[in-house]
Amino acid sequence: MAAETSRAPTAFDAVYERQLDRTVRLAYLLVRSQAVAEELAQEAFLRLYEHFDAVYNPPAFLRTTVVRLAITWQRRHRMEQHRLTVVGGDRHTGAEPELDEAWAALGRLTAERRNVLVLRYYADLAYESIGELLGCSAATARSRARRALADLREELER
Amino acid sequence: MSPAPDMTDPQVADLVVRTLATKSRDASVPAEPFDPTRRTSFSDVDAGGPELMATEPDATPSRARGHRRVRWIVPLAAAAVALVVVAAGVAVAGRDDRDTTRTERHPVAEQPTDTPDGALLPGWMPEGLVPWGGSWSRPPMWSPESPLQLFKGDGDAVLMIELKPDNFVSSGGDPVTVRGVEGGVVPPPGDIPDAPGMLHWREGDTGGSIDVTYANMSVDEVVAFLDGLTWRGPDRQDGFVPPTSGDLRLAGDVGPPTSAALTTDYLFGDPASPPRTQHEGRYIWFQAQSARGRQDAMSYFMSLLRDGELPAADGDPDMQIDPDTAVVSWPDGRTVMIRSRGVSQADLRRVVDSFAPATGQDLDRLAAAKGARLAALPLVAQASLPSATVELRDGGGLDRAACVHLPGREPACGWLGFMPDVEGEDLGVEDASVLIDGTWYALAVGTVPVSLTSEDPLNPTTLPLANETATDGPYSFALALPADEMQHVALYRDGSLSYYLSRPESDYPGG
Repeated sequence: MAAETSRAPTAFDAVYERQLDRTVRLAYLLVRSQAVAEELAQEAFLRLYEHFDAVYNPPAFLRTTVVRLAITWQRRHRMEQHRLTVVGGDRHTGAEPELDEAWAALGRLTAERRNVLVLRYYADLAYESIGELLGCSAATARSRARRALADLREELER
Repeated sequence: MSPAPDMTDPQVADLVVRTLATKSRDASVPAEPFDPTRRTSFSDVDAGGPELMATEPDATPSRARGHRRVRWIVPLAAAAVALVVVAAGVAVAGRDDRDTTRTERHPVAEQPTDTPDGALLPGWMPEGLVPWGGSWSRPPMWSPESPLQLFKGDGDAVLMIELKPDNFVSSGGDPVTVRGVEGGVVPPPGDIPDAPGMLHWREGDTGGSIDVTYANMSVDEVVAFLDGLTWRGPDRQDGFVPPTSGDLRLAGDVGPPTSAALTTDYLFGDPASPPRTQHEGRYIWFQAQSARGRQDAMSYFMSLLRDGELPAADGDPDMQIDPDTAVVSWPDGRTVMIRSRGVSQADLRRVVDSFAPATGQDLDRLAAAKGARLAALPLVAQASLPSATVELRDGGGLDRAACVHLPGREPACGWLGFMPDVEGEDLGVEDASVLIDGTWYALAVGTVPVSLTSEDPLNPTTLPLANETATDGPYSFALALPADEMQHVALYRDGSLSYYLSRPESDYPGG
């Protein structure tokens, strides 16, 4: 009989295929730069690639890695982040104007507060998980989210 | 319109949700396949130590690794690194891959045993669904299959030793002296409770690195424990003699696994409502993987680090079923993922429950039914080449097949197909990689010039690969008969490498 080939899938390929989109988008919301987001995602996948056999939960690994890389980048490159926000981070999409305004206001928040909003309202994480990612307790994460919403409201009212 | 100044917290939160969802779509996702050689400016950044395992319990089940585009796409740029790492892996695979006997040299704990071997197939399908396309395969081995030893203390201390074979060498970390030689250690991050650390070293003239993953121990405690171990014998792959005193006791011990994972990847469709793309028709698609020795043992052992206890190896599977999707993962490493369209949830559950190891006869029957369907698709182009007549058959949408047709034989076809939750890119290229009487026929056909070469990042060769070529209308055909020692060939589309074809599987190791 004739046997058809498989084209040799790998488990890593499967994870890359499924997780690239959400990894890049999460990184983009955190750093507000397409170029940096792609770099962060690539680095997260490199680390997954190198430790794939030891990683029990690839999606969570990728999320954890990209969030922490983003935080490191925010700390190291505050000036660059500011410039990127001004130059490329406030792109208007032609969608609802209030969303563009909200996006710009989010960009004026501190990275710490913006991060917690992204993780809560985009990644849909519980405060316990946010606390683990940000190195604080769940209660602190919840408190930061509340303050971040208050700050955002102030920014929107300007 | 500006947001109202008197918005409540829920209203602001709702605005944030909509804003982030909308703006996330501004990010463009790279179209290129993953390139492991492309380093980034973040390679020196410590991301807090999640390198070894995830710490969040709420994400996708670990075994639900999902599925992928059918084609194995490896960029040329990746080849350089892949060769270093993978060539050694293939050597290991070549040694053990074909043996179906699962042996555990020193079974100690309740690690997975008696795992059902063999490719997984459903024993039941809803009425009307027939084999549409797909295949079974052995995924290539990209990493070593190492013996493992797991040690556990009375408290939370856990230590796992991985004895890598020759040519697999770890590097990096802070310098540390262990067993009289210099190694490296990456301590766990301080801000993640129970996070693991990693230590590695090489010892003697032979053998690869010895990697240690540990948790709830200091580096000094780890080094002291390792310094006190003695080898079982001259073969380092035999591991260490378990200590009879001290806090850490042997909790699990597996030798090199001797069975390879088998993957099944099939689509069953309804001729009355044909699935020409993932968005139409009635179908069940599944990808299933049989248990895989060391990788499963490692994941199983890692659960001790993650959860503080080993799950029952013969426990119930973790199962998630929603109206059109099912994901099942067993503690021993078997996984099944199903996508369906036009199938009731009750039927989907019945399919899930019917998965079992297949016999060779099961797979032969499946291949015959699928082959007959593909060979009956409408013929749209053909060409006579010295070795065979080649054909392109098209049932509409992505239901296309490239076929090799020998005189007096039924056409042997490859199927383009689709992945249900992946928007597959139609490259305008079809291929077939089929075995006929022991000869591998690799065929490419496209609306742009196509060719096949002997490039193979896993098994480099300098052997040439002759192409027989022809055109029929807008279609170009290229047929090659790779030598026996070739395992992969590269398919070029319009002068650019698109993906690789693998030598078809032929010797099913199941019953």
